[in-house]
Amino acid sequence: MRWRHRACGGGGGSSTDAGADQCWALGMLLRALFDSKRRKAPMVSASIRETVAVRRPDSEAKYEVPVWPSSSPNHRDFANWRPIWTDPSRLELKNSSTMSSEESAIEAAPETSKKVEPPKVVVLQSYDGEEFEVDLVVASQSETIKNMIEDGCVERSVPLPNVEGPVLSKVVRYWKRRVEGGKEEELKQWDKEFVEAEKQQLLEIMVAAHYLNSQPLFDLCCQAVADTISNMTVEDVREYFGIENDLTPEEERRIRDVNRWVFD
Amino acid sequence: MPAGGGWAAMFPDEVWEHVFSFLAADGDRNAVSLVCRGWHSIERRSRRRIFVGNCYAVAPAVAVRRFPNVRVVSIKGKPHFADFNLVPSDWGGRADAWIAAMAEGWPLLEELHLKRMVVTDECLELIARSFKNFRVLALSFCEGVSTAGLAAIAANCRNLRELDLQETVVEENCVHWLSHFPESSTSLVNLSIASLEEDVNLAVLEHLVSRCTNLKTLKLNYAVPLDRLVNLLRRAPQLANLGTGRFTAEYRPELFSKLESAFASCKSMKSLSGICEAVPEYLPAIYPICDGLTSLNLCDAPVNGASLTKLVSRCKNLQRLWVMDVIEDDGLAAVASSCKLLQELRVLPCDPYGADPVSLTEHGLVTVSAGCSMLRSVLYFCRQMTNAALFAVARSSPDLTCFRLCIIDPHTPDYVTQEPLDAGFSAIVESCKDLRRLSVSGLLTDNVFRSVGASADRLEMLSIAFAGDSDAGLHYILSGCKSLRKLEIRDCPFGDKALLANAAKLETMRSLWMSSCFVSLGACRSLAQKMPLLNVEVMDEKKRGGSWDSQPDDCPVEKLYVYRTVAGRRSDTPPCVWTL
Repeated sequence: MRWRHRACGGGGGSSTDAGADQCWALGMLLRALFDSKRRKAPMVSASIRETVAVRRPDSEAKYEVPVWPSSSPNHRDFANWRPIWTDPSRLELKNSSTMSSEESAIEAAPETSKKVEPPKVVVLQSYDGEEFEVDLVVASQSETIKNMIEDGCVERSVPLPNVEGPVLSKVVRYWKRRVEGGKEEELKQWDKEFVEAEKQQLLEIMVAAHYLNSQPLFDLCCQAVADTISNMTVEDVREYFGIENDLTPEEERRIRDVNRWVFD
Repeated sequence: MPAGGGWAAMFPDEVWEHVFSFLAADGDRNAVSLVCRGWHSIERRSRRRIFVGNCYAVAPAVAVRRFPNVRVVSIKGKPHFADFNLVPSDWGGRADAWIAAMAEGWPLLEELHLKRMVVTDECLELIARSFKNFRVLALSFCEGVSTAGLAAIAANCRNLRELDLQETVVEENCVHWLSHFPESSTSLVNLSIASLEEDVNLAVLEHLVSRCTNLKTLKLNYAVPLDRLVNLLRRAPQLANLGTGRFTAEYRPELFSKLESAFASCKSMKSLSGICEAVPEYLPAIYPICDGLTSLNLCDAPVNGASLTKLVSRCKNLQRLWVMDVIEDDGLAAVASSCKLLQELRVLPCDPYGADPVSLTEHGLVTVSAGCSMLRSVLYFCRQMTNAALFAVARSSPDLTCFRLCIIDPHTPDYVTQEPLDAGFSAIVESCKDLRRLSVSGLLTDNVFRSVGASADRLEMLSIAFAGDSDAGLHYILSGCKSLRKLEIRDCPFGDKALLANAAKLETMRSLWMSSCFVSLGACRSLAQKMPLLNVEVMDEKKRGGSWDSQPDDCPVEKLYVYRTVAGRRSDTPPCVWTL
């Protein structure tokens, strides 16, 4: 699996409603990360990174922003991949002045949000600036986006600062096929081919599907990843995901014995 | 690279949890639990099903603590040879401690599958009280319960879906236990009571079957007569798996036609069993469902071969056939030509110790093996065998995963050449690369075990009786057979040397059973000392009350059961069992 590491690209959307778009992007980001159901607008703090760090107590450990690792020639590219929301440079806003306008925009948002007519076509914007114009029904495959639209927050563009362009294009491709519909067996076959074709970016698509709350795609990717892991040895799994073993040899031996002797 | 989960921990736990939820095999979940601390933690909290192959391999509380969110648990107790009455009746395998720990730690438990365990009414009452979402109770080859306990389950488990008592001995002290299912109970999907011997209240049963519209599996006991079967089928035409009661009655045309039309209305029937003591006149009533049957169990139907043949020839889609040897070679030839999808064949002896000759020979097996290319699993009882027949089976069924051949008289050689059957069984293990289970019989020397040890790489379970010449045989097995998990041996000249030389192998296996072999107490003591993580249990029912400590080293050990465990010695051994 080769993962392309995207350098820090341009900022978020470039629509005329920069302020409103950005604050709703923020809201959607936080909502998608922490709540799968619609809740009230989350708290905002001085920088987005800190905002990401403001979370439910139990996700404290999850989103610890790491020191960016030095690239090691021995790891596959894939092992150096990091989710973009943990890259501090990607998440900081350009300047603090936009911050205060955002803050006020967010505070103002509840009053200014009136029920707008849901647009027939929306433009999904990846964090690196790629745009995808899709029908409303296609974009609604994402519960996250669907909720935003129903909340009346979307006039036309939906910034998705957590998804890269190439990944988003695959997701959109999947959504479009879903919307087309068809017989059960045909869809299943198409799914199989999709997973096979997108093997390289499967993990990115999986996480994007989780973030966008698109359950069928998320299920499909998780199943495919599980199939990959299945029948692998422990060492192979570690190598494949670039995971370091932090169990002591004693602990590992004990767990291995109990697994094999009792639960196998 | 950051230490710990590092990169992978940046995904929310839910993502990994969801990935793991698609890992069905225990082996995969076990592998995942070793990758790093983070994954170990996510995996153990999200594991929903566990399988414990030996109830004494771990303390119940430890299992419950490791996996706090289990919904489905499956536990096995006594060794397999308990089915042949070789294990002392009070040996153990009690479920109490497990159920108590589960009641404490898994209040959301939904399914309990126990095999060869001793379950009591108190256990059933505790289950009924403790698990509000309880749905499935499957007790197979268990004992110790009575219908009073079943009444408690029926009355209190509001969402019970399955009550399966396959081969479980039940004391019948509460005649009206079926009435304890409340009127409002309509959730049953599987009711399998074939092992009950007494009558059940048929009116209550009919009413229960009527209101459980999702009932898919109904296995009746012998006490349900043929005419009441008609009523039940009429009330449950959606059944997919049926076990009839007794299939015998005086021939009456109107009963026959009612029975036939009742079967005809069961369009979803896939599996049929029971047919107890069938009379040939009523067998044709089954014909309407034959085409759809994938599984047919005629082990209780000692009806003549010709009638069986007519029935089986109509079952073109059969995948599993269990039948008695009265079907004879001709019947098996018909199976070979009609049942092209057959995957599993079991031929059991109708009268194993009787003198009546039955025309079931090795030819039947060879014909089925040649005609059914999808054959994967064989259990075959017969009186004669040749190496040539085994060569033929090895050639035509290289994909066998289970091969159990039981020649009824011990030490029976190839009846044509009078040679041992070593060559034949060697051909089987060399040809069938995926063989996971093997039972050998007939006249066998140590040579066959050399082949088994060398070639049977995927073999997990091996059963040996009345075979071998010396310790070398056991040594070949224990030093080979890379994947061996369970080894059970009776009446073989295997002894101390091979056992001690391969002590380490025993830690890679789930269990070893040896009875009526040449094992001495001294060797068992050495083994126990060398391998502290094994429980070495010696048994001798005649020695009740005597002290094992005082016995000399050369005292022969009648029964030996060795298993690996992280729980240490068990505390519930009866007097005839001693853990060294």
